[in-house]
Amino acid sequence: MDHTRDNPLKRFTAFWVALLLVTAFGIACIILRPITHARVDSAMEAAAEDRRALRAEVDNAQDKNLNQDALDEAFQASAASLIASKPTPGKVAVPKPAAKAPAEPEPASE
Amino acid sequence: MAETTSTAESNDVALRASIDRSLRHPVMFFFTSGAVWLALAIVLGLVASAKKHSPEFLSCFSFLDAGRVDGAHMSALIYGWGAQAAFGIIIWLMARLSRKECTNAGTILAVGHLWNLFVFIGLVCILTGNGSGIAYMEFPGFIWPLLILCYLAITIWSLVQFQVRDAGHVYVSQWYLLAGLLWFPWIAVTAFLFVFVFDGHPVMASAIAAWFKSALFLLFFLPTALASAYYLAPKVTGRPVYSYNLALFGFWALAFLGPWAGMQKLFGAPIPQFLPYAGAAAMVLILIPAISVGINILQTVYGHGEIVAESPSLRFTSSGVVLFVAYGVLSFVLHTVPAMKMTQFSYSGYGLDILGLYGVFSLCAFGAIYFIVPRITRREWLSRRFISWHFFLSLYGVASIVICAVVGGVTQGQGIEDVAQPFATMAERASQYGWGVTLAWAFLLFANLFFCLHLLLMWARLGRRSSHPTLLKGHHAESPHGPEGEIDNIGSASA
Repeated sequence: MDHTRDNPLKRFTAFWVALLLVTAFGIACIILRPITHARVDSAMEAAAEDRRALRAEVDNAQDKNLNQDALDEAFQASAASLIASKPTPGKVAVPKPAAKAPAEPEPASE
Repeated sequence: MAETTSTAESNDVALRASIDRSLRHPVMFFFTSGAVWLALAIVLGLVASAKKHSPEFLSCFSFLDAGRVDGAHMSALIYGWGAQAAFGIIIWLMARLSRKECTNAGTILAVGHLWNLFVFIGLVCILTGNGSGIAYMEFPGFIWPLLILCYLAITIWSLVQFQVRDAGHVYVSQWYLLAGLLWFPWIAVTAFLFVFVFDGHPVMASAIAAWFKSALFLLFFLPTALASAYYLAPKVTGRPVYSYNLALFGFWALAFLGPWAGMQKLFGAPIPQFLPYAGAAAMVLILIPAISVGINILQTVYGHGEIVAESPSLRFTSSGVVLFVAYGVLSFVLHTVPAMKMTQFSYSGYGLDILGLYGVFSLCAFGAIYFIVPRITRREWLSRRFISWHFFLSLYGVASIVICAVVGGVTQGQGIEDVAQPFATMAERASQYGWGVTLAWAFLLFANLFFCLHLLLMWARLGRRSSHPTLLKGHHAESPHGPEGEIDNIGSASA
């Protein structure tokens, strides 16, 4: 046996070198990922930001103008009148609308 | 002088026997458990193929849905059979060629059990609908780091053996083994990080998964198969490799082209257009290493037709090499741009995958198993008929699958392109070939039942105690191994 090539120290070193070698690419990927991963704003994401801003504006405006107390009162009144009313035989509460042909498109203005 | 030579030979035989003894348990474990997974993969393949032309088949079992059973079939074939057969070949070949006993057989055996456990859990996840749905990476994300760690714990000792080997020649087989050993963690870690961990764009994740699919065959299974072929052809015929320069050229051609292949699967997808074209070009050019290896191995065994016919190892290996050339030709034809247009969404790709995994890798692995198992169990194979049936049914089965899938795929592609025909006509045309594929899987199932049974008997040490290897043709009055008798002239394998 060639003891210059095979001894415990050589095997120990070979083990760690081999481990480093087979994991090198994964380690490199993990280390370099935060450096190389620049934020990319795609057109879809940029449009989504505008949409989100508009949605937030609308939600805020609605919340500001909504009078919850008046709404609750109106619901209570409607509920009370519905409970008090009696169904009439042969009549439906909400009549089914008759089928309508789609409206003709308006001529384009010059 | 003669006495010195005789002592050296005797020492050499003793060293080989001690290497075989040191690796007996892990290598036999990988081969036998791999064979059992192969039988299961073929059963799943049969069901998956039947579902392509008869969707109602076994539809009462939700876990056997077409999508699930197809993923389970390929995963069992690749990680149950392929990876374990490769592990057995790699650790035995590297120990023999580095001339070093294995001092970590216990660790390898224990981690081998873990590998099987994780593959089993992965398959259960796929069949219960918890797979990832990514081709060749169907196991859920948490399985992959565990499998990669198991791979490291199994194969790192082979790298250590190579590093501390006695100074001298590095064999062609060792180039391929070393390359495969280092390439697998590269492709597996990359694919795992970019598909399951990093929050990259989903289209690029699909492209990387497609690259992994090709790289797994070209950069891991193929190098392992070629390492085995470059070992067995000179060893069994007793001749050196035909051309060292051709071997060098073939190796570097594969190393250069292999990593580029894969992304041709995403032709037309919104990724940089050079990527699919580079992938297709690499797959077309795979014909170059295929021809180099084919010429080199077949020229090595040329003139020894009788040995090829008699030796199970060489017969399987030579067939695997011939099918590698066929793989190169088919890859050339299927990856030209007009053919890609026709076959991108058809069965043809499946035919090429099976030709690679079963026709090239598995046939070479069977050749290696028929060579290695008698040496580590110190018993000879029981039945030449079992080996013959295994060989002919395997060859017939794989050829049928490839022909039916490729021809059916082209027919399917023509149907998709022909807008004047209803879609159902195309599906009906393709289903005829689907029946052919199902029948061919049935042939492979029979072939591997013989193989699995034979291997399990060898594992139970029920093989023949004889000096004569089991050959596929008539009994020889005179054997190069000496007279009939006990083969344990170096000591008991159980010692």
